[in-house]
Amino acid sequence: MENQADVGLIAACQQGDPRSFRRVFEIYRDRVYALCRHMAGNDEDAEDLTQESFVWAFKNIGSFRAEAAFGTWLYRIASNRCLAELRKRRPQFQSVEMAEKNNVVPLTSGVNPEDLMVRKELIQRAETAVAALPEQQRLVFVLGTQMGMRYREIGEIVGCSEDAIKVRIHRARKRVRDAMKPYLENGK
Amino acid sequence: MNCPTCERNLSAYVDDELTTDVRLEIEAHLDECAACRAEFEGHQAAWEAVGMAPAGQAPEELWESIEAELQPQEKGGATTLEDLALMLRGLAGEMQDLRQTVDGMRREMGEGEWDEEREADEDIRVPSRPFASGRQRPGSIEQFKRSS
Repeated sequence: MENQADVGLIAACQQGDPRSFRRVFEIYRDRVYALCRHMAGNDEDAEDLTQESFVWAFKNIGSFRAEAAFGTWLYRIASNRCLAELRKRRPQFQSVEMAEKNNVVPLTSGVNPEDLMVRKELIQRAETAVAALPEQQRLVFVLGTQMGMRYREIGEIVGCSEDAIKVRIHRARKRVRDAMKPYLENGK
Repeated sequence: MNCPTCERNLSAYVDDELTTDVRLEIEAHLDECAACRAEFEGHQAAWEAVGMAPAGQAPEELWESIEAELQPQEKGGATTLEDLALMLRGLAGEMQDLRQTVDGMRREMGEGEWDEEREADEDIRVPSRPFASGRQRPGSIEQFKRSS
């Protein structure tokens, strides 16, 4: 995921170049936002968490040592912010709200209203099931299933071995699958 | 491959995280085991449903908020690289001022030495010895006097 441009860019950030900060933000903002949104379950918290993550990262970019990819470092910061937020609001779940707001997605094109309703409900069920996961399982589930990261990268972000990630994702997916099972069977 | 092993590896199979050997074993098992195939289809369906939930995009104005949070720090604290750059620039300026002051003092001392020589007959010592502690320091009037 890391490339040479990133390396030069991060070096420029470490020199304090404001334009490079902006460029880094443009590169990573949607991924960081996606992580925060999936974890938080609503727009408002996702925006706050994204903002906090970038501000912290930029203020402390001098401590980035390039032992990991910059993206990994940044996602680790965002992950920690999200976990802290989830711990604060425990055991409140808000993911249904997230699904409600998703009418703007291009899923709607070419879909009849009935299918759209089914799909919307399916998304709601899925999001509620994800929101019900324990925090650590939820994080690896979001990183793996919803953001498509490899187990190795997830391991670097959360500080676990690939095998541990494999187990956590499997457990998380089983829980989500079990939570959705009645609905999936009825929907067939 | 038996059913528990297959079940344990289904997520990694869906995520394409298995070695080719294990993957082929799973596929062979799924071909012949209806129960595991049903389990796999359940995983896939749930995975697809979760994948349908889009994360949206970060709002355009987010950068302004981030920049605003960084700005006060740049002026007030010493936590950003910008801060450090500003501090260094400030220090460099102060050092230059200090050097000019010292140079000015040296010039005055030099003038004083001249005054001392000129007015030696009158036994007036100008200026007073700035490093008067019994020791001679580099750049002191005594040293200057010896070298000139």
